[in-house]
Amino acid sequence: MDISATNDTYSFKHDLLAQLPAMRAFAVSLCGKPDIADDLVQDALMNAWSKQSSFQPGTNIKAWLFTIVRNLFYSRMRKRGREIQDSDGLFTERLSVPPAQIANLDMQDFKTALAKLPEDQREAIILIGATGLSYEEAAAVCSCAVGTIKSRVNRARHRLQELLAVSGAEDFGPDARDASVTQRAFVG
Amino acid sequence: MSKKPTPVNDHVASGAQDFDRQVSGLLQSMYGAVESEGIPEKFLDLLEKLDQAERAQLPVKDR
Repeated sequence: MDISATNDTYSFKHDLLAQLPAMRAFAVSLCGKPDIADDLVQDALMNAWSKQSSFQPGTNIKAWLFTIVRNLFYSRMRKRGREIQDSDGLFTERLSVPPAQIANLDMQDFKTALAKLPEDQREAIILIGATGLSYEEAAAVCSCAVGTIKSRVNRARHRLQELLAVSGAEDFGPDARDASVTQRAFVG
Repeated sequence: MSKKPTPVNDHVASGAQDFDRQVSGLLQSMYGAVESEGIPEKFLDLLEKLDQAERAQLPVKDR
């Protein structure tokens, strides 16, 4: 049966466990490095545990935990400068992940492009495109307005399109021409 | 959407939709690959320790 109601902390631990895979996935997506991501998740778990009384049961624990992961990520980045968030290469290191090829975009190019996005755009497109959070929840995680998330996602899409169109230009002759049309159409 | 759709715009729009679909698919694939890895033992141990430490302190009244 349900493990519920054995004591006050039961469900918090239970909920944390249930969200752990998502916390790891979010952390890896944010910083691109699995080992650093796991350090981040470990700190986030301890942090979440220590302030569990501030979590309101019934509200979205995933968004609450993502907020903690995100805030820790940025405070570490500020401490270490750009050390853990370098532009090239970090996402590519994660290529042991099964290569997902979708049409003519491949995972390697995509991760490299994703790593080049400004942080605010990258987190927005990850939150909306991958985690299953709504725009409202993503806005809460990032402490910003829903409209801000929407515009960051849009800018992220356009930037990815530019980055991937440029890097793929030699690979796909006719597509490269189409892509440059697309790019121009989105400018301004 | 005030502009009249032209063949070029239609083409661009469907190209953009296709691109968005691909991006979504790649994001979900990247995220899902980690999410489906399962929970490393060290995190289970950590939670167990946190839980035990808390139980040992009960009852916690103030604070």
